[in-house]
Amino acid sequence: MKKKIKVCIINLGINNLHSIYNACLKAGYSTRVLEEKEKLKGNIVILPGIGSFSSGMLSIKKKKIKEKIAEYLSKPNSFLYGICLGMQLLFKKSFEFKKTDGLGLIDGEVKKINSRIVPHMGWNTLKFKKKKFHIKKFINTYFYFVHSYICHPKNHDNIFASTCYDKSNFCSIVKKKNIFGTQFHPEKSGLSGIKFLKSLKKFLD
Amino acid sequence: MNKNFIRIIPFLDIKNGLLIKGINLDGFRIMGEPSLFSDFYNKSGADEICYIDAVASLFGTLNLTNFIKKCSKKIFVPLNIGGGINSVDKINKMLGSGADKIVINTAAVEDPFFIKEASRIFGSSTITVQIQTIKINNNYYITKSSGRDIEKISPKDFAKKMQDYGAGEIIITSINHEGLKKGFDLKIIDEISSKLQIPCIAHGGAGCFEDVYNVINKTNITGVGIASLFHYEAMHYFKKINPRIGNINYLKSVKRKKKINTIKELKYFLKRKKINIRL
Repeated sequence: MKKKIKVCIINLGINNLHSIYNACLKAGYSTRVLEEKEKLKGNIVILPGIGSFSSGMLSIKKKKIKEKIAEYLSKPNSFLYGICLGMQLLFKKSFEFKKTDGLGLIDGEVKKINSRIVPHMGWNTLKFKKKKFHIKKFINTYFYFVHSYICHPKNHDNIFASTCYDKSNFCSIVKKKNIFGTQFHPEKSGLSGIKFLKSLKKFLD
Repeated sequence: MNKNFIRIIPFLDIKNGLLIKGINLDGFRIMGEPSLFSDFYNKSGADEICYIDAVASLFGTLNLTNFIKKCSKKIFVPLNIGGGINSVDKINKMLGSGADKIVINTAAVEDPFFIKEASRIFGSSTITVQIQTIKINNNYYITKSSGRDIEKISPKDFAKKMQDYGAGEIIITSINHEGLKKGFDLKIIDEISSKLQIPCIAHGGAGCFEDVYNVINKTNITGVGIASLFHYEAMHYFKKINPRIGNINYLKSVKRKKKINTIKELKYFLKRKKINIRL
């Protein structure tokens, strides 16, 4: 029997752990939630999150997750995946409510969406930069977005896919080596979201 | 013409663990097991699913947690949960069970600052405020506890206040139209949605596809909440269509020559009318 891919979910306290946990199980991963005193391990580590940037960072500091992530990323075959706020936390700083420093793994900033209706809430499609074979099945597929802030990576090579909202494009998937982040919620995007979770590993190369 | 992306959201009112459907938020009829309906809507392409415990605020209970836990194992679209949520602790409990967005009505009317606190902790996009509007002698007021208590506050002012306090979304329910299947209250929905900068959902009165098209076309909403139009068609898809209690004879008497998947059909209908929608 093929060995199952191991997924570890970081618990920041404020998030919809239940949904992500169930979606990962559905995608066929052997899934567990990180315990307080444990080190990060597994083939994929997921940093989920809903809520505000500052409360997310507060929880990261309290639970010493920054150090754990740094240690995990230094290992070979590591893969960090941030969802929604989890993606935003990867960046250097955010301007939500007040200027807050993030994890700083990707150079760039998080700023408010410039549009008439905020938050951006609903289903939307992705535009990929490079059209590789395993990406093709996600063209014209809808994913569920809900956010008021967007990421602006400094280095445009880090933009893996973008999405159009109210006539302007924003970075909806970010990728820097083994660090990956999506602004949308695959765990809330129905069957296409589960498919997306299943092919996570393939996005690496 | 409304260019927003439109979400189609089935509204499931729940009382004592059973799906109910009322008229003007009153006179409930038992429809059956809610999970049957929500599974069906999930498969048919609902963009979100909204559960409201219709009596929670009245009795001060919180019954939905176990139910949501079960649902979130199978349903992978956003779940909006409401009914009797009036503290940060209860929100935490709901989110922990698998809810994605929290719908607040009574607590927002009684203590508007609660919305401020909740949105600061959980983020605006998690907090949805339901505004139940009622029309009396051509004046609009808001109500709490599922339309039981009328408060002499203008829905427009209240909606604006909720937006300023950090609500991420507003559900506009028109009690006078709810359950009647005669079309939405376009006037109040337009008045509220055109003034706000947050997403608005119209709820109450969808009777046919044309009604849904009208409310999308003539107002600035981003979502439509539908109950009767879906429930009374969906029940024909289940082997055991009837609940064990309630007015079974009526439900049995509703005969259909052909089963219609109203969510799918509605979405195709709207797409043909060039509405921005997910298929």
